[in-house]
Amino acid sequence: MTIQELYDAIEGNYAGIKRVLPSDALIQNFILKFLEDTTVERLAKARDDQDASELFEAAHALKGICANLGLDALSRLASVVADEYRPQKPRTMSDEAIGAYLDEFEEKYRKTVDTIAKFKASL
Amino acid sequence: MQASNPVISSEKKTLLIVEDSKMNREILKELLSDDFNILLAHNGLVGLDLMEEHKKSISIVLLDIFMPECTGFDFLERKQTMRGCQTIPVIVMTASNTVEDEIRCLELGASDFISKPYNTEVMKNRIRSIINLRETSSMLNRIEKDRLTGLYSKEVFLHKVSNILQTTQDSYDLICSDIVNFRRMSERYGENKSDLFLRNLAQSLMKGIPDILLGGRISTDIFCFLLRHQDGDWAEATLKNVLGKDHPASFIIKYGLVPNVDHALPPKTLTNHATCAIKNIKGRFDATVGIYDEEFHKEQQRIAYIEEGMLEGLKNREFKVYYQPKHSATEDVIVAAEALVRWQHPKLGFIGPNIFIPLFERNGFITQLDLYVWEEVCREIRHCIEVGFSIVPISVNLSRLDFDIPNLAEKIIALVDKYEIDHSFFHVEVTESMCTDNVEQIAETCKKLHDAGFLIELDDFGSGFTALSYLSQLNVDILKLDVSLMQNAKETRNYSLVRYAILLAESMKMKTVAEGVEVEEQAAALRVLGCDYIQGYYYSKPLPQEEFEPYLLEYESSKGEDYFNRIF
Repeated sequence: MTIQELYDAIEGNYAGIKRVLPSDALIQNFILKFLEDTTVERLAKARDDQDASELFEAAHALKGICANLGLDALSRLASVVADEYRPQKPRTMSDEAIGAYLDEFEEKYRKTVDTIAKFKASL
Repeated sequence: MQASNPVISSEKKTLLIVEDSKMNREILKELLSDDFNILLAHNGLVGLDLMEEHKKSISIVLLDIFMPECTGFDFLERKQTMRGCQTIPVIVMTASNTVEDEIRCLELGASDFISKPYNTEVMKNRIRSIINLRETSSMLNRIEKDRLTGLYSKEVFLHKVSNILQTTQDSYDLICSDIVNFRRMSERYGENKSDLFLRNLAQSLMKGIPDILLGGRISTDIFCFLLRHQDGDWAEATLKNVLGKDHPASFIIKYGLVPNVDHALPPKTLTNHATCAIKNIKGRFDATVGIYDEEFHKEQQRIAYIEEGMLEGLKNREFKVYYQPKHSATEDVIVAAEALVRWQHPKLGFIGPNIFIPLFERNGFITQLDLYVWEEVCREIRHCIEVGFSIVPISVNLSRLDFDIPNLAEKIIALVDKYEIDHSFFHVEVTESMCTDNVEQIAETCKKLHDAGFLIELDDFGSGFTALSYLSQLNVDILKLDVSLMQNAKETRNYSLVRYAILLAESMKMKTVAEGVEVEEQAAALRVLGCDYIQGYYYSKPLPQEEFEPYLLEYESSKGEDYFNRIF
């Protein structure tokens, strides 16, 4: 599997990541590191704790990380969560509605990580 | 602290990355480590420590905003208070933060934003250009001293003043020096000698001004200095003698002092204030230092306010013409009146001519106002003729600047003719003090008006500028004795100057008017001395149109007709 094929499989933005990281080798290096990133665990814990400020920070961090890796769909979902929990801003969504976004994020994240893990195994 | 921070090598610029996400940190490091030495901090507190430790070598900081413990905002705020760190530029990395966040970063001193995802080339270019900007400006700091005077160049001086005012709370004064006649003097002495003088002046001031911090050369002959605030009236005496005796006294130097400068104002504004204070004393031989204090500032604002409203005021007819009666000295009858202008300002209320006339003479608006008054007087006379009042001749003032209007005499004549009024109803008041440069032009206009039937009154006679040759040159018909002559005579009970003025007028077949007559004693003396007419509060204050007309009526009923024809 090429890097481009991997990006197609995880609904990533290959052209976008090319602007950040100029070579496939570099992209591969970092997309594999995504497997080790623990920010998503922070997000899950914050969700369990109902800790709004921690939810914001974790979501905001994921938004940036995913954007930098060309994982646009994940970045957009994280952005919705970050905006909902932005400090000093009133909430605009119901718990169910934002919960649905969080579920969607986690599911997509899981799929993405699984695909990357398979890609890693094939190397 | 991060174990991965490398030993700093000298050829690459050093960049501090403050970012809590390990992933993003590593991407940045990967992208930038070929071009920069990278210091990594995983939160704001570590970032601040690293910055303090490496402040000499760090060229730029890349800063994330949302981090636990110490946010990017906290980082920027703390950085502003750290000596040696304030000028290190910061680029804020954002994952599309809100506009409020970005504004707050800019307010806290951030230089630029980079949004995630990073575009590598764009990011590198921004980092380089911001580093360059800082280095060129600090290079300027090192070399940009004016070679002739040793003072800082203008930009560097202003930049340094701005830094001092922003980073300290102490009180400072700002002084500007200006060689008022520099151009003329440098023509006379030549370039070398005037350069030498400039250098000596700069050096003397750097030595002579107390508690001085720095000096800059703002323009060829304007220097500016920042010093610690000094109490009291020290400036006039200190600066007057700052040059010592061996310098050519023909260079006239004036100073503007802004005491206790407002830290919130940009330095450019402060130097403007100082030069403004200089302008204010330029014509005054005895003053060396003009002070831009609270009072002066208010005055400047008031002037600005007046100037803003003058055109509108003319359009809205806020300028009102008042008429001050002139009486015959021997008979109790009104024989003429002087048109004076008052301003009913919609916001400032009543403003006297002593305030706005000098201002309008300076800014040139006086010519429009004078022509407006001419027209108002024409209307009034026309009105009186129409209703059947026996109107008296009205004198209207002309200012020096009016004589620069092309074909002034023709214009006045055309205006008066438009209202079909006999020229003899008008006196033209001119002052001898305005005959400083273009006497011929003024004389020519006066002659034209005189020949057309207007009478010429010479105002302020005896106020100190008298050149008797003007009397015939200007075709003067009536000599108007200055208020000061009358006041002086009243105080000293000595009317001999008044007497000679009247004799002089008689011998030249001119009539005399005394103005500023307040009491019976003065009026009685003038009668005895042969003065023809009297103007002043003794008879009447200046009257608005609605009071002037009844005043005319009152005297009309008691007097025979054609009275003034008999007099003039």
